[in-house]
Amino acid sequence: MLSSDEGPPGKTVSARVPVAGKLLSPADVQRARSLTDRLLAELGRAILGQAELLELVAISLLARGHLLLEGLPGLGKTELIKSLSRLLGLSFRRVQFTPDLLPGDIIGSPILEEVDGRRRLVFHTGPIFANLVLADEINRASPKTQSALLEAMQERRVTVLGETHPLPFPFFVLATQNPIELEGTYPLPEAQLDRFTFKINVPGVSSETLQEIITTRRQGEPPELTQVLSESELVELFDFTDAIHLPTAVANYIARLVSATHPTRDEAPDEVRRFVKFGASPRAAIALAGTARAAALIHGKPNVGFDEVRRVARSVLGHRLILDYAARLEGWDSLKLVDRLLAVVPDVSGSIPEDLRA
Amino acid sequence: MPIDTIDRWINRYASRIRLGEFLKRGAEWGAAYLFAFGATVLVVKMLIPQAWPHVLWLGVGVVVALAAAWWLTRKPSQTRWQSVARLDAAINSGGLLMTLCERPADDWADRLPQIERLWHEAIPRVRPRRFAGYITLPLLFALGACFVPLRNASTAPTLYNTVGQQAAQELEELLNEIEKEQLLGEDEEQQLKKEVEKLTEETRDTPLTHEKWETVDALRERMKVRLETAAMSLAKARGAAALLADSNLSDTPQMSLERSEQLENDLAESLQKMMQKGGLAGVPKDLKEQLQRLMKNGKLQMPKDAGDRQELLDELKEYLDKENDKLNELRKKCSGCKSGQCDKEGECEGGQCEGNKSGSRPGKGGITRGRGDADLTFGDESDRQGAKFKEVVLPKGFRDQPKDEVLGVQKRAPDEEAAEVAPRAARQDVDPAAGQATWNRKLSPRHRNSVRRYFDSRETN
Repeated sequence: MLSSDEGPPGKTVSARVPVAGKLLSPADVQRARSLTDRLLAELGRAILGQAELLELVAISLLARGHLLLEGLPGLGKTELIKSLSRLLGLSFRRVQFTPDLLPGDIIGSPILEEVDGRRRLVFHTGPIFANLVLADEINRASPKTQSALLEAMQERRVTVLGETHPLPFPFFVLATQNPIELEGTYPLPEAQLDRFTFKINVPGVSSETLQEIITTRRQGEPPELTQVLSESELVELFDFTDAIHLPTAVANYIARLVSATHPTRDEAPDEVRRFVKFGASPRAAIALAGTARAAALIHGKPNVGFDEVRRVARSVLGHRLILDYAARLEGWDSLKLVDRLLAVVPDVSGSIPEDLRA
Repeated sequence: MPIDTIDRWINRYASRIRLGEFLKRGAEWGAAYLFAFGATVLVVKMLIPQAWPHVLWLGVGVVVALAAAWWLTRKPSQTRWQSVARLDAAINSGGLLMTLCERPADDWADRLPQIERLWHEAIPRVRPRRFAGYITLPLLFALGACFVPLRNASTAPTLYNTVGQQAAQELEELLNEIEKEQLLGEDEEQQLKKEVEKLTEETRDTPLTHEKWETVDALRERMKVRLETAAMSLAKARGAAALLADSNLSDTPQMSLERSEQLENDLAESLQKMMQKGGLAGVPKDLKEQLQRLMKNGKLQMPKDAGDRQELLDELKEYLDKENDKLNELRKKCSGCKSGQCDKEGECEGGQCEGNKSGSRPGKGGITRGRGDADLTFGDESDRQGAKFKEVVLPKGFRDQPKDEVLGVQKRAPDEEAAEVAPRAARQDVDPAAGQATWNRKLSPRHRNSVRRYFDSRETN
């Protein structure tokens, strides 16, 4: 079933080329931080008691990554994405995934029309032609439909009958899935999962938050939100994110971290060797670097540090590890393994000589 | 903070890391070298002590080893960015230091910690515990090796098979002595000579085996038998000459004619035997001519004149006494009674140390494992089960024979001494040296080995 809100149709904003080889100035970083703070503050007004989740969503947004939210119904997943579209002033489409949903229902299809007395096939765009696409309960659609998103998510374009149609910039797929009621669902294939930069588990809220919700929200209606970031400001944030410096040592750390997820590598810890079937792809390393940049910008830094990598590692690597059946038997899940990796992989390779102690 | 100041701190950090790597490598190399040096010093001190003072120069090598270790740390195992990353973590700048090293920016340099103490504390301290742990033991070993006393080098050549050669030489000397006294026939003398030469040849290069020991024993016994035979003839002749000489004296009872004739025959027979073996070579010329003249048809024709007869018998007796002394001397040598075995000169009698009291000394027990005159107490026979000693039949030992030495031949009844007729236990009261013969009894090597094996507790237990 398709639905759309009252927002403007898909539009494309021009992307600026980031300034290469130059560190952001303190003023630039300060401005970026004020913009992101403004966004996060407004999001926090809409979604109560989920500060960490909101920050991860903002990081994913700045890194121009797709986001998969997993959580029980009623935790505000859909509301979060709708709020985001309102705050950014971007076009928004919501697609409710069902088993009978077809690829054409998402992408669009050519329809025979008579134009100027001549009949021709005219491509009618689907709901994917928007800046923000909410794929609600994505695991309920068939694999065929799910795979329709593959090209769109990676290449940011769709091809129908040999004709390629670019998607608007920026383009985000924000998907949700329900970890329960799995009967009649189709788990996302690994290739599809790999295209989501983040997979975030949406936690439940505290009793204080619940109390605040029922006292401040009539009928659960969210507050009225207005656009807080203009298109140019959003593009500016993207540029700032790209200009965040990734030092060699941190890049090396990311590389070693991703490499250690592979059970066949020398640097893999014992738990990875025992419980992981397939490790993270190079796309994971790219996502780690990109999201760490965004995290650094949100924290007002001109560069990425080891802390930023650790901050995003769980969300980036968690859904990219394919575990062996032994992991379930031993009570290990992917997030626990990522924590283990973060604990055993040192920030800097090598060690200082034993005769030296700081 | 100026960029050049940051660079200076980074360089300081990198230098400290290099020092740590030098300490690591230097400890390993230095320890290995010191161990090798100590071992070399020990080998030199034990085997080639002449090279001792010079080997100390090898100690300079440890400086070379450390210099080489320092030279290799010129290229540190860690790259500069790794050092910068560590320093960045130490000052907790969140990656800004790394960034500024790669993309210098003055406006961000001010955001780095400005307190010098913080930078100073970020530089790792040198605490060479590992270095000391590695070096201490090898250093002590090397120093200990230097203080090990030098082994005294012996310039004397190493002698091999000396026991065998000595035994063969003794036999050769004894044979020469016997030869000098002309106690052996020519054939027997040649045969003995040949055998002694062969033994000398064999013992020169090969170690002494029990077979050779037995050869030595057999040769010595053979010579001893010849000496005993000669001694018996001589004793017979001496006895006969003495009795004949005594019978001429006026104060002794008159000897019967038959007895006198028998004694003359005995004397003649003995002298004949001695002459046949050339035993009368040392006889004074006058006496020799006189004897050759008197001895016709194997019989001794004594002068009729009583004075001449007495004179001849006295001369003959004197000569035979001298020969007896010589023969006794030879018998002593032949019996293996050498200086060193007896406490005093002249204690050797019949090849045994008679006069000493070594039997009372601890650890000098004979084959009975006790004094010769000790009481023998026999209990039940031991159970032979489990005995590992395999009984072997040994050849009859030469020394197992009872005393069969001829001490003298005389017509009268033997003189009895109170000590000899008394019971054994009481004998010692009279003669403290009693039982020494048994005490000092010697066994041939093969018998000795058997006895040792029999009493060896390690084999039987």
